[in-house]
Amino acid sequence: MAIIVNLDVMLAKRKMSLSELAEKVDITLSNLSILKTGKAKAMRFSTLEKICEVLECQPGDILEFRE
Amino acid sequence: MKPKFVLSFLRIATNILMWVLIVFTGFLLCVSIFNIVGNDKDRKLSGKNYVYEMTAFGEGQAEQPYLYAADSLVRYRTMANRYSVEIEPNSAIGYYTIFIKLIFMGMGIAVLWNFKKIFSETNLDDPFKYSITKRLKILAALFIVADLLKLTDYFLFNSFLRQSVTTPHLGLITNTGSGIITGLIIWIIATVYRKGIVLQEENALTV
Repeated sequence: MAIIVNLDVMLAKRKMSLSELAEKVDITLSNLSILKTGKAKAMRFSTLEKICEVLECQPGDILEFRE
Repeated sequence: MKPKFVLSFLRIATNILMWVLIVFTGFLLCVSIFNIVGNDKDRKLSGKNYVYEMTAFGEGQAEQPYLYAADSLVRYRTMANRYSVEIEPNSAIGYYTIFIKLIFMGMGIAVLWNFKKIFSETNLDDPFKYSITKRLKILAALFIVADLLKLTDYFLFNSFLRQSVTTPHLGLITNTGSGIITGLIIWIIATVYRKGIVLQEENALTV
């Protein structure tokens, strides 16, 4: 069981780079990289809200539960 | 008082104390070897004996009356059941004495070395580290083992001594218990500290 972060898929769909997203969301590139590579242990609602706002998507588009 | 200043002081103090203890242990070892080798073989008490303060119990000694200070706020009396016991270094009990003394000093050096490492590795901006938890657990074990050793020494030394001195019934003056309590407290701190490491890691990986 794992929560999969599909940030790279959404970035590809929006044709946006990771650094561009980091700038728009106002979080560090290293933190965003932690999220993208699935190393993150937790995610703040505020971060999720900003990412959804910038990528114009729903939380479910970024996070996915797989058994 | 600033924590950084206290930490610097502790770093220096533990370092100095540790080296003083190492030098003192080395000195004691040299003196003991010299005593064992240099003493004449007929095993008579010389001027280089190990001195212990001991108490005699169960002898029904008469208690001395109290003497009072001028303001009557303090009273004192001589202890009738206290003995100064001298042991010849070149004997079985003498060998045992130096052996146990060196073990205790070695443990003291190990405790100070671990404290020195903890204080040198501590960074107040990033305090939680696995190496410090490990050292705290070693310290806890050292304190507990030292106290158990002290208890074992109490029984062994007394049984050794009672082979030579049957009356009065002498007992070594020792204080056990504090090491076990200190060890357990340090172990709890190490456990809490480890939880702190997990929280720090989680915080670092929270986006």
